[in-house]
Amino acid sequence: MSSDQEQIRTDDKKVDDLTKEVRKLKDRCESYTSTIFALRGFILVIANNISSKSTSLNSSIGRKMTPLNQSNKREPYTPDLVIQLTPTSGIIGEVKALICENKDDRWNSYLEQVKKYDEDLEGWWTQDERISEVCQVFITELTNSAEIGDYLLKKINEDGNSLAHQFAVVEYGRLQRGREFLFFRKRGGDMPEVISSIFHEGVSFPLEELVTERDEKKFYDAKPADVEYIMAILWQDIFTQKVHERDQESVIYDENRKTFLLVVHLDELTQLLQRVYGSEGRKPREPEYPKKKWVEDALEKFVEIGLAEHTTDKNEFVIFYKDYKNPLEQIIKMTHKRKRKPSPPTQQLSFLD
Amino acid sequence: MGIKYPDPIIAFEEFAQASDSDSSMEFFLENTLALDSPFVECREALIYFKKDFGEFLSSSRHLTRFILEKINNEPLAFRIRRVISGEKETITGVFIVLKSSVQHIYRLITVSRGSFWTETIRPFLRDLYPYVSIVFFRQKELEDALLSLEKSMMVQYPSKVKTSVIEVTSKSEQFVPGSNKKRSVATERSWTNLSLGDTFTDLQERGFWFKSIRVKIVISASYKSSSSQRAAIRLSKNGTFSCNGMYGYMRRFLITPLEKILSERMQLLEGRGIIEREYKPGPPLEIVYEGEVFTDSSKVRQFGEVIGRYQDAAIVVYHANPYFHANIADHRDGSSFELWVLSQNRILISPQATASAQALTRIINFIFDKFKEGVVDEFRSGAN
Repeated sequence: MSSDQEQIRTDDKKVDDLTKEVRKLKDRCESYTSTIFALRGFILVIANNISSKSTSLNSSIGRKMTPLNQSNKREPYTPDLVIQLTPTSGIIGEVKALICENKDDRWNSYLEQVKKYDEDLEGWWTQDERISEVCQVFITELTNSAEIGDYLLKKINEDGNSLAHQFAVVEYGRLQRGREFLFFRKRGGDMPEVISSIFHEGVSFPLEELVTERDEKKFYDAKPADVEYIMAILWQDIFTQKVHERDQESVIYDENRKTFLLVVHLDELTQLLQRVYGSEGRKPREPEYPKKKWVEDALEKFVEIGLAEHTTDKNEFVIFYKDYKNPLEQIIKMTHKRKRKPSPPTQQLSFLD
Repeated sequence: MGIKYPDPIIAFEEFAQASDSDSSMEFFLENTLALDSPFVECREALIYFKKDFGEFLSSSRHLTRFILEKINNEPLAFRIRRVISGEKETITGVFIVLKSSVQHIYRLITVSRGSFWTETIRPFLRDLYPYVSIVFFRQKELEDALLSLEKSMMVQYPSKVKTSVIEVTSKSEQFVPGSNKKRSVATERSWTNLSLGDTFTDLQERGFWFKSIRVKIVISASYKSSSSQRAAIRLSKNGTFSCNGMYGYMRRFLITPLEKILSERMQLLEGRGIIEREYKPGPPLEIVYEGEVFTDSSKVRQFGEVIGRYQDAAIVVYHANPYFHANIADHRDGSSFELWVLSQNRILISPQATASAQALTRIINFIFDKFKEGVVDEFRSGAN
């Protein structure tokens, strides 16, 4: 094979690798969004089915719950969802869209979390913030539910792992019947009678309704798997707006770099994302997301790939903004290139210099 | 009968400069202006602007390709010069701006040949985005407006009025040769002499929708008037009108009712950004189609391909098939929204951090023009 042909093959492979990388990352981004839909959908399914039987349904996506045993003054737990079904019963839920491989029994960490949430927790919508009957629900995508569901249900029946409260595994997935639906079904375990039959048979919820009901939330109380997810949101929804909003004159165009110079501050940016797409954590027991660290990681990544730099204030950044046609792919290309590029060898200064 | 001026363009320009009020300008257009030169028409564009348009144009710091010189305050009148680099002559002319019957909608009017409108006014209006929005009308709205014009004229002149369509520029979906599934949108320009009703029926039966339509109106001679009146009126989906006579009728029976529709539409699109709603997002907007459009994944893919051609915007497509999810950021305005296709007859548009009515108009107009026209409304949870 000639060297030209070899070069073409190498280039094709690079493009191929990048295309696969883009596709995988987009799938993970969409998975994160699906998780937010699953959280909201689970709450709405329950609310729609029992609202006539109950005067109100208090619920929260992410809620700081305090272990009753405060002897060590532990940090509150923050389950992904908390739903109070009746004045005396409720649900604590965790959603896992992506499940790691069970190498070296890594799934034991999921079991440990289940056991952790099995404690009596304060933070319910009652006078003393306590209730007597709690069901813990582990919600996971259809592709994972069989294996992880069987694993957890088997483990909790073993000696030493038994739980004080009810536990169930619920699977969710997309269903297409003319419209797109999100489908939920109990994989195994026990749930309160008031909702058990709903999930036993399976229930679907139109995704169009969830687009409205999620209130444009792009985050929940778990860090996205890829920093590029936050980077794309920042570029598309925040930086573009700051650079191009009408009558905006404070952003300078740098003729040398051929980019706009946009100054942003980590704290302000974090607060903006929380207010628009997440949770500010201002109300009692309300968690904060996205966390400041997630946003900081995203900004540092922009610096790493040459799309930003620090100012003298370590929390302030100058973004080198350009109008990219496809910012997410551009960002992935640049981070991908950065990963593939080997670090230059450090050179020792000649003692003669 | 109008006073015959040697050149209606000069007459218009001189009156625009000398007039002392909007109402006298309106009177001139409706009663005095005689458009009896070939290819010279009274042309009008409806535009959406939320603040003082006169003040905005007077500052004109937003324009790079045009030079504006204010020649009158009331009516607001400007001489506009388009400078085309490399050419010795510049294209110049006069336009006026009058208020409409509704808030935030202005009428930009000129008396000119088609070339001035096409080569100066239309690019000028495009350059004014995102401050100014070029509007859009649905086919049904224009059909109803034209039929209403015809009816009003018949009431005014019983048995004396004849309306007919003389030219239609229309679009339809065509199969791409060699493919069963892929479609493109083809444009057809046709000359006819059918009635309004017959034209609309014909277009509907053949699966066409019109971009612009030119209608001839003839009012026969009567005991009141010894000669007949005739005029040709053109209207386009993008809110532009032109006529070579009967401006008063066009204004009263055609444009004014459409202004009200426009006002309601812009009110629907206003106040949608999350930040301006004090961080309390509202429901998404929807484009609803009569009948099923996204019947299979090829149609969803086709929609994705159309969106991919949206200019002056960043597009991130998260999912293209079998459902569609993308985020669009407008590079001219900073607005962003998400597009979803999750059912067979609806597109959802979810405004994000900022989402101006102008940016929403632009994306909706693009979808209507390049994909398919539907009905825009607010999505109601639980009603579907």
